Amino acid sequence: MKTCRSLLLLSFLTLSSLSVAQEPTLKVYCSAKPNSCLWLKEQMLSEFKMPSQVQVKSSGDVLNLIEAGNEAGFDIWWGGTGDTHLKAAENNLLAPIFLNNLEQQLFWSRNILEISKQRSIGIYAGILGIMINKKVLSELNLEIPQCWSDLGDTRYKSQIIIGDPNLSGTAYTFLSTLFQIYKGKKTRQMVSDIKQNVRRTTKSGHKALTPLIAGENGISIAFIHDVVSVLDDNDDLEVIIPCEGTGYEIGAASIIKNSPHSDAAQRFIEFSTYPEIQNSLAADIGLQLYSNIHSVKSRAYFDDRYFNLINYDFFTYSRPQVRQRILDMWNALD
Amino acid sequence: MNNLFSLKNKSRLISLLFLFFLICLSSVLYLSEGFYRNHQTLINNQNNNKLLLSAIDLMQVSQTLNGLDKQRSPSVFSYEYTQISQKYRQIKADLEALNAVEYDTQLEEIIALLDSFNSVVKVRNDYNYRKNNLRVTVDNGINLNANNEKLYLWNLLKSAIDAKNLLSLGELYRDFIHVFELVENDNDAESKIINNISFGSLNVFSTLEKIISLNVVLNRNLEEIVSKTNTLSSEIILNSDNRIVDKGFIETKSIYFLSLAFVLLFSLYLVITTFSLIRKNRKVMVSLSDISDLKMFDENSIISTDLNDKDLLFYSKMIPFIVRENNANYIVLNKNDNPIYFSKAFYQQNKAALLKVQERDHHDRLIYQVQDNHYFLSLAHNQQNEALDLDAIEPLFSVEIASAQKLGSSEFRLVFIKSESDEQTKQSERLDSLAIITGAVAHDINNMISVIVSSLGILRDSKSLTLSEDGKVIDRALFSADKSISLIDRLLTFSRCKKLAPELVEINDLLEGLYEVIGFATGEKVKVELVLTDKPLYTYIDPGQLETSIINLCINSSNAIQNEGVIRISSKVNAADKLTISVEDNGHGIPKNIQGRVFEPFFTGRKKGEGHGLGLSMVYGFVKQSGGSIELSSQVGQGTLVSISFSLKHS
Repeated sequence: MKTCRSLLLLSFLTLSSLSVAQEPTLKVYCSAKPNSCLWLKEQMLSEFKMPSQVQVKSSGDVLNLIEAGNEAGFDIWWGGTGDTHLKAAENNLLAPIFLNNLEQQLFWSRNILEISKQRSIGIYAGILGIMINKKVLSELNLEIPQCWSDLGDTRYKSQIIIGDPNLSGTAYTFLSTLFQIYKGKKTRQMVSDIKQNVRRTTKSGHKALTPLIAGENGISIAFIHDVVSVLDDNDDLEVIIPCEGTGYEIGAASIIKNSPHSDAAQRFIEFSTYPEIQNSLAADIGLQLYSNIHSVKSRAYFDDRYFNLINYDFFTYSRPQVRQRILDMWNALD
Repeated sequence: MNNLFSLKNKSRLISLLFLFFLICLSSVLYLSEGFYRNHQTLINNQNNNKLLLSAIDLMQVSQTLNGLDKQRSPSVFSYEYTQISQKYRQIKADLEALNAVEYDTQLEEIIALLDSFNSVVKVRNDYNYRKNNLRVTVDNGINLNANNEKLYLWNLLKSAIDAKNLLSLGELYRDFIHVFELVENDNDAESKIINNISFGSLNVFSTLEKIISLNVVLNRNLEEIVSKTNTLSSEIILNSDNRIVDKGFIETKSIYFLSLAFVLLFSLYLVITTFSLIRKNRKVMVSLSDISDLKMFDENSIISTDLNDKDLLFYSKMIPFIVRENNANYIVLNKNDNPIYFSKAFYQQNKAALLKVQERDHHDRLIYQVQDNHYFLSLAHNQQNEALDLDAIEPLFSVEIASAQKLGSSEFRLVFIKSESDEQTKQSERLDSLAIITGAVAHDINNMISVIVSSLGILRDSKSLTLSEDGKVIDRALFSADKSISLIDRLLTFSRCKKLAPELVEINDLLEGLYEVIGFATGEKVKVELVLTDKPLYTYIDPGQLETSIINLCINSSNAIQNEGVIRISSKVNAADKLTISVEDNGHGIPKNIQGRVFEPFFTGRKKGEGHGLGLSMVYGFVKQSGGSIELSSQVGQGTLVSISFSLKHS
């Protein structure tokens, strides 16, 4: 009985001590993959005792919501393509971030912090590649495309299914990569040629992979970490890194302006750059490359050939007017 | 009655005359206004064309810009940058001269952008310089070690130096940190070096981070400059169309048509007046063109600028055939190849010869010839026996023909002459660009060879090397490396990249001191003469390089002398108060067609393997770098004279 009582007392004490240091429940928009968001929520609670209420929403939706004034009073926006974060930063919708472990963040992560004027930190990165279905291509006697420029070849008529650049970050990254490799008028012709070969577009970059896996078409565009699991199961699929070099995305995290718990939000963001959170995300769940030097390397990116990258200009290609120009051009083509 | 009649007649005559006067007046007004309008349109068109030219210039600049920042070496970049920025300033001045001030702000903006671009490039160059140093350290480091982890670290550092974007740099850093933890506690020299270049203040990763970020910025700036330039140029083209609007044309037009109707209706005389006036008008039009660009050639009295009617008509026929650039160099020949007209530029260039024609004895005959794409003019002195003695023909000039064409259906031919000064500028431009390329390449190779030599040196001194055979192999490698260094050294001199150590030198002393050395260098068959001024000649120059240059010139001379000959080295003060050192020989000479190329590196008249063809090019580079000038004149069979001139110090 005594032990029982002491146990009760002990548990009460711990509980009360917990409640003293109790963090407020943060409201988080998560634009990463649902699994990653769930892991973030659980790990934050178990490792750092930070309770949170996580809502999974695409980055475009989150941008719209906070542009509308963040009426639901959310604190944090975690994950989602860097350009949407940068746009929010430029429109002064985000609060400054100060990390105590900045020196542990890799260059690209700090670079995003710099170009967002301290408003967003790069959390993860992923590399773009051409996904092909070898079986479909060989049945049609088509060679495997090796470069971005090959995609405009009339041989690949109706072989490409990609996300709609207006809605899909993957497809937008694809277009802006082309713009950065082939400057000016040349891109216009090339994008026009490629669009001739597009059978249809899907609402998200991920949905464009379903027909490819099913063997409906031969070519799509994807981030490599999104397709690793599929690649393991399916020998017909292969990732091609285009000869010109490829682009990459950076997923960012930001504190929404006027967050009711900005101190806690600072800690939340900082903790999310710790290896304790990032290791599993990189190794199993999200499979992207994560920002902390001490986090493990993603198993999706062990192949060195994936690192044939262009020197991606995140600042320019996240600017609203540049984005609009590229999308207008895409939409005007038929 | 008669009187009355005559009075009536007179008043009628007066009124007729008055009417006639009115008609004449209006026609004169019409024509002068017409001429004024023509003139105005001509000027407008000219301005318009100039505007268009500026726009085209802008397009060209934007083309050049596309190639500007491809990680050029600093010297190539700064050369191109200067060219482009000059071009912009030129265009700005052109536009200002045309009163097109509305583009001013845009151009200033572009120039400011270009300047800031340049300053960023300079910053990046510093980082690049640091990167190159790090690369040398890493390359040296790799050879030193055997430890697997450390080898891996070296290789990661090597890849990091070549990284082109932040993501791959980041992953290399991640790998590096993980592996580094394994050897962190080693305390040997190698670990210290690795630690130093990976975490020190000037470390590989932060340097590369900086370079990559700057590359993004530069790329962005460049695109901005290009797009602004393109916008401006298309704006100019669009606006230039609106500029030709001829003010006052509409309101005056109807009046002129009326008076024209008058003119047609009333008087034949008027037609004649009109005709003559139109003729006059045309003359004025023609005279707008630069008649001064024309020299008439007459065998007896040469060259007059007073052109008569015939000339003008002739010239107006020629206009379509003449490239309307300044100083066109051409002559007009009749069917017997006799020259009728010279362009002013041609006259200036061959003034001496043409004056000789003017002053010649009246018995002498002129001989003209077109042969082998050359035009020859020679003077045949009349001999007693009236048979043409070959020796009595005095060649006046021979010029190379660039192109020839018939003037319309006439028997005259318009012959364009290859301009010598053009050729010279082309040559010096070619040498300049060669120098830039060679400089960049030689500089890089020099760095790499230094690594080779120092590594070989370390190997040579290494105690683990016991076999004397190995030592010999290394010695051979070192010998070759040393030879390449001297080769590169000469290339660097040619490209003016060498650091000179100028000091006040007395040239006559220096030449006297060299006398013996030159004797050794040239061999016994050649006699060397020194012709020096009595008073001392001082100049500010790198004496070592000057000695090498003179020895080089002497070696070239002695190679040109097959059997026995003389090399004369002389110093003097020339007409322009410059100090000139000349090296003259009586060897086989250099054919005219290759004279322009002798200063190019690796150009040699000798057989393969006998020489590198770097001697003259290094002399050229050194002289240019020292602010001097070099001249070469040579005649096949007679010999060659090379003179180099520097400014003289009076003290």
